[in-house]
Amino acid sequence: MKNDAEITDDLIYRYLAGEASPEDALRIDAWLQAHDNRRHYLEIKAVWDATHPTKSSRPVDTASAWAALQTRMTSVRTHSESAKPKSFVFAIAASILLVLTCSVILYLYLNRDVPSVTNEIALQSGSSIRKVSLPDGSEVTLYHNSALVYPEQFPKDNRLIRLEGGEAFFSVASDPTRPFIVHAPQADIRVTGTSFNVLMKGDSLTVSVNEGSVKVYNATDSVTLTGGYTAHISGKDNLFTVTSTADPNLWAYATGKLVFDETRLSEVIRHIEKTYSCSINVRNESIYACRLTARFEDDSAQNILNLIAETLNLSVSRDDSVFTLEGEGCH
Amino acid sequence: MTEWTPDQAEVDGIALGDEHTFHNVFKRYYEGLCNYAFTILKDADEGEDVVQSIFLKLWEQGKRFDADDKLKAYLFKSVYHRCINQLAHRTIRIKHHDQEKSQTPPVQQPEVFPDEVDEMVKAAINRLPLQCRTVFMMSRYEELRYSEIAQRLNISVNTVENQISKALKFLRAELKNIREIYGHQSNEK
Repeated sequence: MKNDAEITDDLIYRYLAGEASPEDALRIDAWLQAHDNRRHYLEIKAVWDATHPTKSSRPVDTASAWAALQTRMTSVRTHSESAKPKSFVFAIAASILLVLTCSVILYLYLNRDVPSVTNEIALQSGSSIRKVSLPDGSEVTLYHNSALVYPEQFPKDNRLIRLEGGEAFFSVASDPTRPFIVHAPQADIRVTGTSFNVLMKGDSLTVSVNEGSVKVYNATDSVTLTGGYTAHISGKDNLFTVTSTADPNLWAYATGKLVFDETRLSEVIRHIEKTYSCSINVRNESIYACRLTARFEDDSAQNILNLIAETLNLSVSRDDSVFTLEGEGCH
Repeated sequence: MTEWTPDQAEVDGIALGDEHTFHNVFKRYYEGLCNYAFTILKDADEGEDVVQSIFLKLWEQGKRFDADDKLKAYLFKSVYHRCINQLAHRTIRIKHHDQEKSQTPPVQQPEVFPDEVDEMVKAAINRLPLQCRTVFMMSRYEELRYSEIAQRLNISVNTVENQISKALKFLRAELKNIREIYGHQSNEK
């Protein structure tokens, strides 16, 4: 066994408290390869975890992490790995250098909004809904199975992030000196400070504005949206269509707010299902025709359905994440 | 557990441009790195994001390492620096919030337990000597770094470290049976 004498309990306490240096963490990692050491460590960790059970680490799933990483790896590779022997290539390299330089300049020009030097952070939500703060204090809530990339630090003249898939709600901190730009494959979205929702589905993009003013643009078209408006672009013609039906319930997954005003239950159910990732069935089709007027904020799906059941004289039952409403419906 | 042997790597160098090699390195170190990141960030999702970003960058660059220990050092150092950086962001965000709310400096509340802490555990922590308890709670519940605790209480970092060790030693003795509750491995005494 190597260096065991140097892995003291005090070092383990430091490690658990998050104060271990990388060198220490490295040695602990090596030390933990031995079964007995692991057992000792886990005994101490159990006590640490008991003092704050919800802040315990969860098991790491290396296999699915690898799968997630692989999808990012193919899109990110820009140069080949092997070094060719210099002598042969040199003469050719000299003659194509001019052409290469021009291509590189053109490439950089076309991709000028993409930061090339700062460290990037890749965020994926998988099966959960994730809310994060960006380096400027703006907040992003990622819906399920969505992916976003942003830099560790925003440069001084812009705030650029890439939405790679799925859906996200942005609450952008006001900063008139630095436009906030969301780069999606179909279009870019530009704001200085406001809140809006972006949904990517297949080839299409839908931007809905909650508050403030948002400019959506690509090579062929552009449009400026204000609160309550939605722009939609499908892959076909790259032109935007604007509608004035931005329903804030669509981003309740981020804001926690659901507002219904004589809303048909079929729609109420649709919004609850999206926000809480559950399934709601009805025993009697005429339940869909009932209307609801209510406001919910940061409630649970169960509470909301209980209230609906009470208000509309229905009953609700639950089996895991599937709810069922029954009773006499409406006309 | 691992198919890739460091000895082979010492001969060839570790070329992370090769996907097979890269995968092996990932399998060997991913979990350990995530655990380390978690200890600093106290958030499993954020920790995994940081580690994934580091690996993605390594892949992008197709870096080559002379030997396993250099690669390992690089990985752990990267995790450390990115995590500390991320903590700094959080502080900035909290500062913005506080400025909007009140002018008075944030009050230390080392007496507040999170709801989910078991009564038995709470009782044990309350039996700690005063300074020991204060330091422990500031670390565990306010998630302050040792240097921050030292500064706020006007003591040395060394003292903070000793108090944490003292607290954990005490709690381990008091909570000997906790392992059954939290379901870890064998029932040795």
